[in-house]
Amino acid sequence: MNKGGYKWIAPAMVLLIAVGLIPFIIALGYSFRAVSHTDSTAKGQFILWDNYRRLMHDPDFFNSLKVSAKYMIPALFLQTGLGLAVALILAPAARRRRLVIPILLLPTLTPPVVTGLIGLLSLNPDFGIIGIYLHRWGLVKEAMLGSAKWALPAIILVDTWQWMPFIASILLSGLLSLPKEPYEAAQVDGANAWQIFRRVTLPLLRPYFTVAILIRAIDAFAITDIIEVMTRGGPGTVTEAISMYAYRLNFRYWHLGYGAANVMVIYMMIEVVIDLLNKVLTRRAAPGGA
Amino acid sequence: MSKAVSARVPVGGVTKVGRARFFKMAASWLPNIVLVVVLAVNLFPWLWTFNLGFRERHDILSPNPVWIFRPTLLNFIRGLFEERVWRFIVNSFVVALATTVLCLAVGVPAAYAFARFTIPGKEPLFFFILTIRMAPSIVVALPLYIMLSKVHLLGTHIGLILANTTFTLPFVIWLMRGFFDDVPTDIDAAAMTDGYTRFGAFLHAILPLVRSGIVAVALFSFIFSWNEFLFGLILTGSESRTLPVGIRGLIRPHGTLWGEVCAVSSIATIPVVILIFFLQRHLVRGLTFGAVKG
Repeated sequence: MNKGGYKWIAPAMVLLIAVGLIPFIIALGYSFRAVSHTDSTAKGQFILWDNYRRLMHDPDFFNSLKVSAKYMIPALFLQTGLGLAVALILAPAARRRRLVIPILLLPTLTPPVVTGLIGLLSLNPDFGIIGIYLHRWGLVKEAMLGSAKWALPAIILVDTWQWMPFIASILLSGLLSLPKEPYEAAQVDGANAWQIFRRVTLPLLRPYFTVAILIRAIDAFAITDIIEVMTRGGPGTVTEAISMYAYRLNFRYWHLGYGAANVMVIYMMIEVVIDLLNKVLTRRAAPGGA
Repeated sequence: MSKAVSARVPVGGVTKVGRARFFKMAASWLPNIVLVVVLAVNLFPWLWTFNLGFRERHDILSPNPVWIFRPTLLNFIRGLFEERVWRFIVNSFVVALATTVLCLAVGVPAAYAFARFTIPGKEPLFFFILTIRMAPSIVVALPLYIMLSKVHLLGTHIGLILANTTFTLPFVIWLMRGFFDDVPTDIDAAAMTDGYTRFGAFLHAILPLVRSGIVAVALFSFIFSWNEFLFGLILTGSESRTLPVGIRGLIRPHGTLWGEVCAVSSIATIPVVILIFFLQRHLVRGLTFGAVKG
């Protein structure tokens, strides 16, 4: 009775293999060849590991790794910290109000291009609603997005505005579904508010933190949209995160062979984290799991 | 009891009891006030940008924020027709709708099979599906670009629909599997003892029970495709350009059309806002691939 599942999954699997696996294998092939639309000496000849070797000596590639780290670490800390604060603040009022989470999530689900534009416009020092005041109060002297010092913090700011609600809403769902018994037990034991938060709430929220941070980390690693709209990776390469550099190599310089090698390396780096997410998600989905 | 207390408080007089009552009331209102303030601050840049869409150019570019203004629809008309943004809206709508229909048609039965059947290699397959969903867009986009250019589908709606399938179809399968898992297997068994085939039981007994899940998955799929940017940027041509790519095209090195940009941005955001309110209690579940049942 539980056999014959292949017929049911076949259409979906054929489609996923056609749009996911086959193109990936073709691109893997490109990564071992000299392919470029802008370099006439690259005629598709087989060059084995040369693209990968070249990548290991490419300062722009290492710059993009550094930019990604400099963006991801503060962004994730900010979003988790603020997200927890907002979740705790909203929890008492959100219990009976179904609309809180949808309203909170509006910036998260707004088209990212629009989010980037809101950032670009709001931070403009001459007429942006936030930029005007940053300028007037002397907090930021130059145009944020054109400055080597402020461009990345500006991206982190807009990214945090977009994604803090994502983490907050996950933690809020967690807070609203926590069991009552541990709290009653803690009160009987005479614990104060801080102790209860530290020893009961935070440990109970842990699985929610794990899911939120893993998903956010994987998405942050792939960031392109708001950077493409706000700075295009500039000034210079100051905000050129890892996917932005891959985009430049492939679709501005048209070095498809070298670019494919870059993409393969990006894939291998994030695969580890996706594997981790898979373990977390399937463990929680298993019967008897949390 | 509170009635008895209030009867003893002289009108306008500040007594200990009156003050306590005030603090008690304030304390009960505080969460609501905080709630409104947090949501308002969070939404401010968003609302401000959309209200600029109704303003004249000199108003938008003013170095002092103007609060009172006479609304105009000129930016919407110029954006939609002079900049021909309406074509991008049509493209985005067609692509998002087709992606959603395709992914539901093949994804829902697959999810049912993952929830119910013993399939050898099921968990590795499930992981393969998640990997396609979570891989960075550029990792999916470059290979697709190479393949679509070989089969001459670059710049077509079909090419973009196939590209969007890489993240919507895995999403449909993952999330729907969770919704099917929530339905007891006894119901399939009962339907089949009543004479239904496996497919009949799926169609007539199970699908009606997961209706709200299907709606949620469909709305999410539509939003994901509607919002998608990088695939659109790489895989479309001037005729098949989607709305997000078209909006970005309005940012120009010499004189961005901010009025039109704000107007068109709010048009791009409206469908999402409407769908979010229909999603409600499935929002967090969808965003976490079913891990958190909000």
